[in-house]
Amino acid sequence: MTDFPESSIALLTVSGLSIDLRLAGRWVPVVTDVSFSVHRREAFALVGESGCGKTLTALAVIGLLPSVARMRGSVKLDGRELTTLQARARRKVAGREIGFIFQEPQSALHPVLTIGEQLTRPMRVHLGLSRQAAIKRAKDLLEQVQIPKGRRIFQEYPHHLSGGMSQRVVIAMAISCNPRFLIADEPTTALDATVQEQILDLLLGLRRDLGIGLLLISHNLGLVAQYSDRAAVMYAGEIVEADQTRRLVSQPLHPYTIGLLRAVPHLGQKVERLQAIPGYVPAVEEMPVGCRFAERCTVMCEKASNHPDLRPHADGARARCWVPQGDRATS
Amino acid sequence: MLYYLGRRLVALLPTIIVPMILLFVLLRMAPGNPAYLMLGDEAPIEAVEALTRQLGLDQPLPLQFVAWLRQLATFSLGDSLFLHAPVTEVLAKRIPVTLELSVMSLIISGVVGALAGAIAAVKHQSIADRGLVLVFAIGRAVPNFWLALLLVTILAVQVRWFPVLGYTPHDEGFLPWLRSMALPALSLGLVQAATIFRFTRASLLDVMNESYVQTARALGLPERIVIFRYVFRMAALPVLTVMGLTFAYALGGTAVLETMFSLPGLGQLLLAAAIRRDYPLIQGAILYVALTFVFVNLGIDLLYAALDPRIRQGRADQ
Repeated sequence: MTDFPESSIALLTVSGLSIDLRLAGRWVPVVTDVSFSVHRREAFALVGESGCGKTLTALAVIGLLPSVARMRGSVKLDGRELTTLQARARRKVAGREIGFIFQEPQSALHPVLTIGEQLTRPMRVHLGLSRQAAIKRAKDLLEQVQIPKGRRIFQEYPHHLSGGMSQRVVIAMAISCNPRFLIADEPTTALDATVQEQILDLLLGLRRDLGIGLLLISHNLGLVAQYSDRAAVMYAGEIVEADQTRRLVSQPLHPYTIGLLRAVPHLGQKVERLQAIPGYVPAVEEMPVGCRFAERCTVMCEKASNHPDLRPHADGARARCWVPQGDRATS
Repeated sequence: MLYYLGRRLVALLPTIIVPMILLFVLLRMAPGNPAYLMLGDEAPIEAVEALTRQLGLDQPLPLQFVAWLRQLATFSLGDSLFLHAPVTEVLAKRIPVTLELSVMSLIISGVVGALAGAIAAVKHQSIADRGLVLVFAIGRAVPNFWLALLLVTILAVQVRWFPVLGYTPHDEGFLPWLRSMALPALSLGLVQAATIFRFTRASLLDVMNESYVQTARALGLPERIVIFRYVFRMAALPVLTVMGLTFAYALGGTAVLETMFSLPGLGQLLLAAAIRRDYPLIQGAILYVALTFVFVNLGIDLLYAALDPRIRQGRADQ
């Protein structure tokens, strides 16, 4: 695991991304000033509770925000700005250069089209492959996502497949047009724990073999700790801490990250009970002006009525906190 | 698929027999005796009783029903009391007119309703969408005979493109036939289109929000493929159901429209038969209506199975 300085040319750069949603007739900010970058062969994780804006961030990257949303900021893939592209060009990026894997594999597949048809369609559209060529390549892809060769999956329909099998098909679809970047939005949340590991191992393997960047979105810090190189923790629409994953989980700076870690069960470690973070995420309509975590924070802090910036600390870590914890904090 | 078809066919029997029994009982419970109506007010009681006996109407109900079933087994529906002709013959003359009207209005409502629904859904919340929703909301509130009056006033009385009423059989020429059918078919079809529009639009909007459509978009598939291959096929199912039901209703005849345009169809016949308590004719006509209803529904179910493998295989797996 090497250190990637933020300054070196990244594969995907998101900077100053803000997203508003139209709720009851007015625009409400739900994602505020999110910036991060992902390098080739790197797995970058966005972690946070549901509703913190991580999925919207991912949808903004691929250009699939719902019609009730608007965004500002920049998304660059290999130095090319995506947000200003025309719809048609943007669609090409979505299929060819960025693959997207959804949370619910079963509902991500069309229920009445055969797996074969769904799997070959993007290749025929984007790569201009003939039916035969697409089928041939699809067979290789199925092998790549480790679907047993004997399984005649082509004529089957999604309701024949298990969740894990469906997710493998979805992954095969996502990588079918040789994307440079993969986004996996909670790819294993809907799956059994054992299948979960297989799918994540598969994704990390693909990242290595294909040399692509991976953006992993999850609410599970334990999972992220195991499967990402760098991670950013999101809270109430903004990044509150970003660091190399190993350091993030061993020496967290932000009280929210510390709280999340206490809520992750560890094998072989005897704990009385897992600690939940008290309170709730503030509603988007009544976001506090100052520190958004203040109400749930365990640390005494006098500056909480002012909004903290995402400030750099030791080893390139960044945290949005007036009173960062641990000895890596630089004040 | 064959297994599925077989199961469905067996399930049809009760859906035909039960309504026929109900009809049989209700008809005879309703006041009014055909013998009395046939002979007129002045007829002596003895003559009415004699005719009642002759028609077998003095028998207990179950016996009458069995007698009717027996007749049915020989593919006969008996003779009409007033028209003095076999019911099957009378029906055979009237059914084609209603069938023509039903098919024409199905085509009109299907094309207009589905097309408008598709445009509204694809251009969701645009001015076109809002306009169409408004127009068809009005259309749904309008009874078909009112629309018929409006169309007659404009297209038949003022600009004289179509005859005001009357039916021209198609062996007297295709164009005269088409002109005589145009207004009734439009009146029926445009009102039906309002329902089909509503279902098409709602169903398409539903499907467009499904995750698999988002997946298709995330895969960068062109909008044309997303809509035609991914959305339409799923959205078609509920729309087909509504179209089938609308068609089945129309097949039963539309008494008001047929009377207005004096089309010699099933609706008009049924109305006349009911007024005269022509039991055999009513029973025969209703049996036909029940049969068409049931078979149109079976047709829809088979279409469902053809379009959706989950239905086809789900049933067969059990």
